[in-house]
Amino acid sequence: MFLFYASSIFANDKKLDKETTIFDETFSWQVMAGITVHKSSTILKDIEQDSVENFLDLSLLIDLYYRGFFIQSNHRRASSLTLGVEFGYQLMVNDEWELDIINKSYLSGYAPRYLWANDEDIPPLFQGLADRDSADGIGIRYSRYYDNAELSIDLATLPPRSASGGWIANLYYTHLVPYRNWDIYYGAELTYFSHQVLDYYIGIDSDEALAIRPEYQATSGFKTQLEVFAQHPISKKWIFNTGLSTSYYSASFQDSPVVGQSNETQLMVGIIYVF
Amino acid sequence: MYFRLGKGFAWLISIFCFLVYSHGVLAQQQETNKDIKVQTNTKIQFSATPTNCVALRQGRKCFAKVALSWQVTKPGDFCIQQDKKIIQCWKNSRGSQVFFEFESEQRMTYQLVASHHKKIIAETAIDVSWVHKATPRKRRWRIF
Repeated sequence: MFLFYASSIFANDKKLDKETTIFDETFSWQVMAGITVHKSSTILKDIEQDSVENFLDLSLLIDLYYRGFFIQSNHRRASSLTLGVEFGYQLMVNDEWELDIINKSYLSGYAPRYLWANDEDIPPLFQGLADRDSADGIGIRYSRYYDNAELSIDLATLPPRSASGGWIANLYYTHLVPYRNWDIYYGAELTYFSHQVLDYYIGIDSDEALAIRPEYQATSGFKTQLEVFAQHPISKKWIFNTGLSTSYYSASFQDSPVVGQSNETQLMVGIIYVF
Repeated sequence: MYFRLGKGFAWLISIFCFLVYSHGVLAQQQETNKDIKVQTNTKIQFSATPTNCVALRQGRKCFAKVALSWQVTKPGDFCIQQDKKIIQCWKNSRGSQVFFEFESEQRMTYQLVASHHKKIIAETAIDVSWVHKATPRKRRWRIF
């Protein structure tokens, strides 16, 4: 229902379709709905995809711009499923670079009661573990645009948006290679997490400690990600997309009792309907 | 595991399938209409397959493998041309087909020409459309 509701709202504003600077009063939008099949792994122990819903994802992708304020979905990234939308405001803009205030999720949260369908299925390692909310940060983003590439640097603080303390620095580079009707994006990302952030997400407090889950105080750490993502038009309204991303997490992640591996891989195939 | 998804998931799947199906039917109807348009002359048939090439963005070159087919009732010498540039000619033929790589950012029109009097006897076209409109900005990552 929300999908239809959202599309009808935005359709009313369809004529307001362009903007060029932050001082314009025009309104721009793009709404897309996507269905994706994905095979994903996670660094957390004891978590497997074991039912159809785990492999399928339905998403409503919204891009919106009004007077410098924007909402943008990550529909050109393989990991768009977990990243969600970004909210922001453009402080300075020109053709070559841009400075924004940005609000986005840098790390997915997790909660045992949502990770397993029934409470009795929760493995002993995760029983009694407090929920970890997603790492929503607010910060500054500098983006540099090249002919077929983009480089962006984020510096974000998690308080007051998140339950966690600390800060995050993110460096992201993406390069577009057009081939026939395909758009192929190659991307690389490096994210630094301060010790407060990691301690909240993968640290084990004294009141959570068990024999199989000893107390753990995390230090700062980083994550690297490489990805390739491709889009191909099916018709004027439909796009096929596929992507592969692989991430590596540093030692401070790996040393946590709830973390089982240092790599995450996600393979996705999907279609997007453009309203 | 992973995440608990309620019955809402099934509803969303149903809605999505309906959208896919309804769009497919509509697209098929539009395609059929186009075929009729280029084949109104019953004595001469000249058509392109596909009749539309879709690019991701406006202004971007669209690529497709296309076939131009023609058929006439009386054998003769014919050529297919595009912008007065000959693509292929046939002698004493009643019909044939030519395959080639279409590569253009705009609609292309093709003519079937009777070689002897160099008269255009039929015309067909391949349209170029796109998913996203062109943006005024140089960058490509955001829609705007």
